Amino acid sequence: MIDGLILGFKAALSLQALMYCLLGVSIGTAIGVLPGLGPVATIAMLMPLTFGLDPLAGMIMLAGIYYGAQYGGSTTAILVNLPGESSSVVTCLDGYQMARKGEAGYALAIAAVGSFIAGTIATLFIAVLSPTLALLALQFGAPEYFSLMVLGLISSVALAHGDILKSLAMIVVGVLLGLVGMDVSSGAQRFTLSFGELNDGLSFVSIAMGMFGIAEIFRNLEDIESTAFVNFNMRSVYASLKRLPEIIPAVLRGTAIGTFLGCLPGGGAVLSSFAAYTTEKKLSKNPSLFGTGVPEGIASPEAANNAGAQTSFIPMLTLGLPSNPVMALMIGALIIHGIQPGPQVMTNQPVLFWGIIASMWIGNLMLLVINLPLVGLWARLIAVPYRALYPSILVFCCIGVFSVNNSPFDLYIMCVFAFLGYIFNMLGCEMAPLILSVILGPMLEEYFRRSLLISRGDMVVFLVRPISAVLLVASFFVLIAIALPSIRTLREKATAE
Amino acid sequence: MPTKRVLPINRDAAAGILFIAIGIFFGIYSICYQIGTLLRMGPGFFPFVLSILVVLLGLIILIRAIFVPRLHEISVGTVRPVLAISISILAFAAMVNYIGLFVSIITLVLLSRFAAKPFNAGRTLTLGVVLAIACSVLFVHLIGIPIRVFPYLGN
Repeated sequence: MIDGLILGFKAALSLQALMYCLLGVSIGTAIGVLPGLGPVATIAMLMPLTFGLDPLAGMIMLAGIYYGAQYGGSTTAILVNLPGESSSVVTCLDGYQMARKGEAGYALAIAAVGSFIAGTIATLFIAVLSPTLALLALQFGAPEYFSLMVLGLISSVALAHGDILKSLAMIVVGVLLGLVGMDVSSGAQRFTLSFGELNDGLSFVSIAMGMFGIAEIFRNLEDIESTAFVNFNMRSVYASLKRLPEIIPAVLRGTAIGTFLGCLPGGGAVLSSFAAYTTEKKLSKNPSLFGTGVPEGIASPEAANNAGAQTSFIPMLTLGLPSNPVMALMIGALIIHGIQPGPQVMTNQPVLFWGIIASMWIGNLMLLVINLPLVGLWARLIAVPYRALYPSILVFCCIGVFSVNNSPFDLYIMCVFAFLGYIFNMLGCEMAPLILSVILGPMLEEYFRRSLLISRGDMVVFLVRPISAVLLVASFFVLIAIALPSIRTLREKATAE
Repeated sequence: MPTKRVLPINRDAAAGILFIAIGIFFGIYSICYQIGTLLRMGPGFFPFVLSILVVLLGLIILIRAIFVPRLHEISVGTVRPVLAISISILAFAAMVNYIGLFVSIITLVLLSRFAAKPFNAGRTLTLGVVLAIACSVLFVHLIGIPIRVFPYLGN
């Protein structure tokens, strides 16, 4: 592990890597600040920027966007009571109240330092856990992978918010969409509606961009809110730094929760911050004060969302499985770069593997040292009216999708899925499970077929192999558990927005 | 500000019907391919099983919506943004290979700005031109994505 980290830091400290790391975290902060522009759409938009780069620099930049957004999201939550990112919704509760009491500087300092501590611990955790997991996963055969994906998809439904039945249906629809195109074993062109452009399958970037980018614009144009600023000066940020030790325990609790929940499928930043806030409120001696501007109410969720954002890289790096839509895009990016994600990445591409891990810590440091002093500048971004912003977003979306294959057809696909996303959203169906299963769909079928080929057509193969059996039984229990009334209400409370 | 209208339709029932429709579409389409057996699966096998699963889930959602009517009505925003944005994207897609990136971006910006009021022609045009220049320089010249910037004038 130490050798790996040294290798990683060597790669991540190269001038090019540092530059793209800085670029990534800065863009991330900006979109974190801007409400109505999430990391999924941004990463999809900027993916073409990385095509000309080597994979490491590209991945470093895309990763930076994701965790940079967690930093930026808290800024607007605190200053204008507007969550720039869904993971900073809870930061609004106490952050904005602190700002109104004149403690905006302290609140911003808590968020930044808390996130940094969490980021550091989470990076270490990734470095320790990933090699072990990857080694374990190298022994997996087709049945194990199939069961693992089933478990991953099912628990991504269990841990995310939204109606379980509808989310399950969205998963299956996603797998079906993922199967569009040429069937690898037989060469049959499936579900192409005779469009030659669909022979290679639906472009994943088009689907993600349509459902998350464009559909988001539709929704934002329906209700545009105006914002009111809270004033603060930079000196108060620095002055409050010496008060920070009092919130360290809360930061550590948040980090632990985020680190754990981030690893799980469906976990990541959003769930972590909610869970951390609830826990902190329960542990507090006077829970009634929460919501009136308690420092712990910012420290713990902010630490948790950053830790969760980082550890959600673990399943992606070690198993090649996405735990949330951002990771699904990362896998898409790796595939475009010609790297098949999975446990073999660690052994075949050690520089890439460790470079990404090392860059996360460097990126967190950059966010703390460079972005905290610029907080006033970032906050000014919100003053940009949405009607001036959305045409620019749209232009970037279109160029991003077009440049993947240089094909106008992908833009039509994006348009279709934007409309579908709009409909699904109206009907209260979550889009995250669909995106995950679109990318997993072809692999799911491939592993299913291979398993049955090994077993000569006997379905029992999934239950005789011990690891596979354990994974399937676990998925079964997750399904049962979320159907139980008591757990269902608990889940609804925990994931309510 | 555009206001949201509420349609008196049960949201879950509509979702259930949509899933059933999707399942039937993929199911019928799958039968056109060879289904095969568990040992020798044809290209239609896996999607056919999944289609049945979607139909079943859709049925459960529909039945639940009928027997446990939770009044989630559908709220629909104005059609204007959806229409304006979609048309602008389609126009961009149709134009970009022939007329080039520059004019396509300006068209995209102009058309999409009809989605939200107030519309200021001068400012929108400025935004379009600025974006067109910025994107041409950034994506085509600096990053080297092979997109034509200006129309090919035969020379």
